Amino acid sequence: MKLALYILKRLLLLLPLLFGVTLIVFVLTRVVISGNPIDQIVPPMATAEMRQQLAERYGLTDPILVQYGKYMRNLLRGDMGVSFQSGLPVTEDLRKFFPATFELTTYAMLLAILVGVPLGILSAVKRDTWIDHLSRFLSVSGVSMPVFWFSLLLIYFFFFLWQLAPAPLGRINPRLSAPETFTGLLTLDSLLAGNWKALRSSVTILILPTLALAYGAMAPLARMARSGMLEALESQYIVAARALGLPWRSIVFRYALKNALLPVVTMIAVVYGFLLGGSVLVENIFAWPGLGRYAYNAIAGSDYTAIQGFVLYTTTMYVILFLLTDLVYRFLNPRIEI
Amino acid sequence: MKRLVTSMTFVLVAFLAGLALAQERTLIIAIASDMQNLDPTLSSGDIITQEVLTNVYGYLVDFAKEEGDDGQLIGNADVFMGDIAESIEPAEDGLSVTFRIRPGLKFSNGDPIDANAVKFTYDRIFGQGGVTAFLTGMAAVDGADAVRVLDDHTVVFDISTPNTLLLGNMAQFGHSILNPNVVKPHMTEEDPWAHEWLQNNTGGTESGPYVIESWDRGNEIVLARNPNYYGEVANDKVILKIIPDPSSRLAQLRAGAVDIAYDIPPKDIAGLERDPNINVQRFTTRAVVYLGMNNTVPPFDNVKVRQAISYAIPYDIILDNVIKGFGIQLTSPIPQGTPYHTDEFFVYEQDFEKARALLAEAGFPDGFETTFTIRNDRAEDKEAAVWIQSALREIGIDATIEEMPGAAFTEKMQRREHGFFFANQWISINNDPFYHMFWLLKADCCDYARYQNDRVWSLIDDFTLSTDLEAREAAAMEIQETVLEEAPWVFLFQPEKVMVTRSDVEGYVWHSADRYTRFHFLKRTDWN
Repeated sequence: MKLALYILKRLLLLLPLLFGVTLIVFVLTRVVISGNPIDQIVPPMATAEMRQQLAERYGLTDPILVQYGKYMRNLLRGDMGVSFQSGLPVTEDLRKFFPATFELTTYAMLLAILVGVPLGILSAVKRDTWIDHLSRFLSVSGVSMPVFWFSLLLIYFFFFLWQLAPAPLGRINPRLSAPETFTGLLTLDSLLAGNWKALRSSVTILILPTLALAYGAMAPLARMARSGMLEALESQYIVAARALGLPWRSIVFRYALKNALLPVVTMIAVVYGFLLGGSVLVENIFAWPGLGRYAYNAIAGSDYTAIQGFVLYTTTMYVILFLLTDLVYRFLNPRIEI
Repeated sequence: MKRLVTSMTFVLVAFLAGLALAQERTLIIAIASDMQNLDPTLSSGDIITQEVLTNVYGYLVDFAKEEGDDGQLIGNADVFMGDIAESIEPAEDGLSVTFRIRPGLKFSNGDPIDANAVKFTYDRIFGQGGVTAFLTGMAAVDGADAVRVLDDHTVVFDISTPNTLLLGNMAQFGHSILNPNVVKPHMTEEDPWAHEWLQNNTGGTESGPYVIESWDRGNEIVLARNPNYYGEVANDKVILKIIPDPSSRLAQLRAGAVDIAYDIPPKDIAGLERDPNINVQRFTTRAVVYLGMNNTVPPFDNVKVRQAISYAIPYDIILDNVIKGFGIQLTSPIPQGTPYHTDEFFVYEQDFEKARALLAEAGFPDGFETTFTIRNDRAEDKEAAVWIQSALREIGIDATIEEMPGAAFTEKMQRREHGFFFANQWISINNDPFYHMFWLLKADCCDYARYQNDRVWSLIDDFTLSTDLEAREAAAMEIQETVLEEAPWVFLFQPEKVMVTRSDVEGYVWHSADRYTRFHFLKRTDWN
C-alpha cells in the first residue's frame, strides 16, 4: 500500500516535469533554432504567399504564447500534433518508431548486462589475473571505439566478407512480408504469429546491430561492477565474514554481490535510458527505422512537433526508468527507505 | 554415397527452382532519405518525393523516348509525346492545344481516365494556386476556364500568348491526372483542395505505372505495378529501402543485397567502376552548382569584388579533387545541354594577380573579412568550401566557413538573406533557357543571389513568351554576355548523374529533363 502510494506520487511528479520540458523545448525550437518547417515541405518555387498560407494553416503565424496554449490544450487530449515531415500524427510516429528502438535496445542491453556484469565481478574477484586484463581491454575498447566504425567493421566482416549475417536492411528482409502486428516487436510478433521465416529473418538481422550497441553499453557496466565489487570485498562486514570462516563462495555471492550491484543498477538505468533515445549512428548504418533517426531528421528539418513529441517521450522514459531503479534498490537493500 | 550426393543435389536444385518461381520480380533500391509531401501540385522539393510522384502518376504530356548513341533509350528533354493524351495537336495560330485522351484508360481503382478527370485536375490546380498553377499560367494558359472539355476524350487548352513553354511546363508530376471520385470526398471546407489527404496518399487515384503498396515512414516505400496501367512495366515491385549511411549503401550494393544504390559519394564511385558486378552509368546533367554572392549586400554589391572572387576560385581542383571528375565546368548561367548555351563569354580561371588587381580597384587592396555559408549535411560542399577558403586567403579575403543545418540554410536562402553561399543544385525541368533564367536571375523565390539588371530583366520578360526563335537566341546571347561580365555567381560545375546498379540490372532510361528514374523500364537480366 505504501509502495503503491509512493509510485503514484512519483508518477504525479512527472506532470510538472513534463510541463517544464514542453516550455523549454517550445522556446528552444521556435526561438533559438532557426529554420522553418514549411520550407521543407514545399518546392523551392513556391511563392511567399503560398508559404504564408501554409504557415497560417499550421498555426505558425500566431504569437508564440497562443501557439503554446493551443499545443498544451491538444496535448492534454493526448494529441501531439502532426509531424511536418511524415505528415502523420506525432503519437502515431512514436508508436511506430518506438518498438524498433525498444526491440534493438533491449536485446543490446540484455546482452550487455549478461556479459558486462559477470565480467566485472569476475575481474574484481580474480583481480590482476588474465580475466581482469581481458575485462579491462574489452571495456576500454568498448568506450573508446567509435560505434559507427565498429558497426562498419561488423558489416564488412560478417556480412560482406564471410556472409555469416544477413544484409543489414533494417528489421526484416524486405522481400519477406512482416508478421501481423501485435506488439510491434518483430521477433515477438513473428513468434506469436508462428511465422518461422519472419522469426528467423528478424532474429538474424538483429545480431549485428545488437552487438554494435551492446559493446559500447557493456563497458561502463563492467567497470561499475568491478569497482563496486572491489569496494564491497574490502568493506568491514566482508572482513568479519571472512574472520568467521564463512566459505568464500557464499561471501562473494550472498553478501558482497548485493551491495556491489547497487551502483550497477543505477548505471543500467542511465545507459538504457540513453539508448532508448535511439542511436542515430547505428540506426543509420543498419537502416534501422528507429527513434534516433526520427529525432535527428526532425531537428535537421525543424520539424517542431516531432521534436517536442520526442523530447516528451524521452523524459517520460527516464522518469519511469529511474522509478524502477529506486524500486530495485529497495529490493536489493531493504534498509533503503522510500 | 554417390546416391546421397545425387539426391541431395536434386533436392537442392528443386529447392532453388521453387525459390525462383516464388520470387516476384522485385527490385530493391537503396535510397538515402524518406519522401515527404506527396501532393503533386505542392510537393516537397526533394528528389525521392518527386521521383515517386513521377512513377505513380501519369500526365497528359511526357518526354519522347529515343534511341541514344549506344542504342539505349533516353528521354529527350526537348521532344514531347502524349502519355495520358494519345495525341497533342497545337493549333496553327498557337492560341490553343488540343489533347485527345487515350481511350480506355483507367485509374488504379478502375475508374475511367477521361476528359472529366482532366478537367477536375486542372480546376484543382488553378483553384489551389500552387506552383503548378503558376507554371501553367506562365505558359499563358490563363486559369481554369482556359481548359475546356470538348467531349469525353478531348480537352482544349486556350493560350493567350503563343509561346514555346507550355508542353515543357506540363511534362512533370505537378500535372498528375487525379481521380475525382477518390479526391473529391477529401475536399472539405478547411481543406478545399484535399492537400492533407494527397500529401500522404495516392490510393485509387494512381494514373501511372505504379501504385504505392505501402509507405513505412523512415523504413521503406513499396511500389507495386498498377494493374490498370496501359503501358508495359518490366517489374512487379520496386522497394525503395531507406539506408541513410552511404558506406552501408555501398556495401549492400557490392554484396548484391540491393540492386541499385543512390547517392554514392564520388570518391567511392571510381573504385566501383572496376568491379565487374557493378555497372556505373554516367550522364552530364543540366543542374547548375554555383556560389551565390548577394548582389545587394556590400562588399558583394561591387561588381569588381565579384569578379575578383571569380578569378580566385580553384576551378580545376574542385572538379578533379572534390567531385572527382563527375561533372563539367559550368560556363554560363544557361547550362550546357540547354538551347542557346555558349561558353564563349566564360573568361574566369584561377589568376591571383588579376584577382588582387580587381580587388584593389574595388577599393579593397587589403582584402576583407566575410562569411561563407554552406549546408552541414553535404560532404562535398564542405570539401569545396575549404579549398575556396584557402584560395580566397591568397587574395586577402578572410572567409569564415559557416555551416548551417539544412532547414536553417534553406530558410535563409528562401528569404535571400545569404551573403556569400554555396547554392543548392538547381535543375530546370523545362529545358528552355528563358524559363531557366527567369527563375534563377529574376524570380522572387529563386534569384537567391538577388541579381538585378533592368536590361537583362526586360529581355527575360520580352522573350520568355515568344515564338520568334532568332530574336530569342540573340537575347539569350546578350544576357549570357552581361551576366558573365557582372558575375553574380561564381560558376562552379554541372554535376553528373551517376546511376550505380548491379550489372544484371538493365533498361535504365536517362531523362535529362528532370533526372528522375522511371522504374517501369528497369529489369534484371535473369528474369524472363
